[in-house]
Amino acid sequence: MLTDITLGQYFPGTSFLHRMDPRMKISLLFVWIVGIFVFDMPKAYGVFTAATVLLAIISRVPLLTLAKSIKPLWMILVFTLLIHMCGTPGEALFHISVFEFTKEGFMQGFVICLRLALLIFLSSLLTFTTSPLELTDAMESLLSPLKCIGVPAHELAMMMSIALRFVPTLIEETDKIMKAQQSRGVNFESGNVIKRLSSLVPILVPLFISAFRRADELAMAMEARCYRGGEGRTRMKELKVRALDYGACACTVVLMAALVVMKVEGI
Amino acid sequence: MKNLELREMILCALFVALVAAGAFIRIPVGSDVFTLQFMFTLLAGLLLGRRLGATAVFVYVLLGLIGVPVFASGGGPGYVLQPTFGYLLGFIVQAWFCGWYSRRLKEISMKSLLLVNVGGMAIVYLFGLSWFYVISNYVIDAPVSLWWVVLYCGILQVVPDFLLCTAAAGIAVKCKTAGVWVENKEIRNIYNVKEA
Repeated sequence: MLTDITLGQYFPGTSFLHRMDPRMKISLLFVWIVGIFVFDMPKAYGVFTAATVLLAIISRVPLLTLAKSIKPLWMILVFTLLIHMCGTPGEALFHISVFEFTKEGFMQGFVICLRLALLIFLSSLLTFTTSPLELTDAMESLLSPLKCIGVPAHELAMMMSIALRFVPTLIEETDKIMKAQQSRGVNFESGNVIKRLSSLVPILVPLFISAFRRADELAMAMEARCYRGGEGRTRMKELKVRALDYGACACTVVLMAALVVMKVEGI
Repeated sequence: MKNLELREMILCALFVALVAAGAFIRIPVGSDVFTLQFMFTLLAGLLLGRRLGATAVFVYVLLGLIGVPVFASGGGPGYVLQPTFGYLLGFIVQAWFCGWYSRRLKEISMKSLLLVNVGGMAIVYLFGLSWFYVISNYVIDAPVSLWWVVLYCGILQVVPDFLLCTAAAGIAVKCKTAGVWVENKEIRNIYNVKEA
């Protein structure tokens, strides 16, 4: 029941998007997100939609998998669309009792939903093409200029890497504890809410104890190997910005410049 | 956060992992589904204290924001614009509050910790509801009234969340007796932990 959780949606591959530097991917994603919110002309949405579809095809992530990433927000999107359809005055499309659904409302709602959907697709393209460890490395590197004002970039990244490494271990351990308690007669599968929640106690207390113990063991193991923070530490895989990253960056700059011109000229 | 000791740092990291795992553990109860995320952030504050607890939850939120899908519905920088992101911000403050207040209690009991948790829950709601209201009205342009937000995202959630608070209080009391409890400015040597 608990062992089939995979953290991360990383989809291994060798596409253009997979080979890009994760730092560049995160920075460009930010630029795009800001772009989607700043340029609210219909044509700009056309451009962004086309670009997102193009990126999705380039990444070779199966489109069905990508489409699933919108599932959690499905309700919010439908709700937004409906609210706009009946809340905006204009030419009526159809009626349901007292609610009037208008064409203008539909267009407005559709644009806002499209904006949100693009945001989600772009962010999930990042997670589909970048492994979690690459992401934490990228974050460390992006935050390191802030070290001089006291942002502990290395510590943050180290905590994240350790957390990612331990999620499967802790889940496995939870499973083991549950089986151990079940063999001693604890019943997790039936009873009312209160009973079920109180059956969490014999799972979680041992889990926390073992988490504390693990933390201690790991700290000792790291100290024994002379770990002393990020100062002067080298890494096995250096992140490198390569020609293809500059290419992607240039494309984004050209796209954004074109959109700025379109916005100013009012095309 | 700068002066975290190595073992404090690792303890935080393990709690980040626990919170992340908690967002995926779903307990079906009737027609409702509980995720344990909220309970784990409560416990992070209670067991680790204000400094480590808030750090752990903060790192969890940051991990989700840079794109690792650890939140209940994915992750990524775009999550900031989702109406439910305010709850995650609330979790950070709540972990700090629970850690701070529980260390000031004269006597740690189920009742007193439950009160602390309910205070934490109020903080989470405050952040969650105001974020929901602002994002719905100004970002996705779906005008919802304040009352609607309070009813659907607040009042209807109170009962399950209160149950999680109770469970967290119960677990925290047990953990305290088992020695899994970080006092202020001191990290317990693990060999003193009694077997539960």
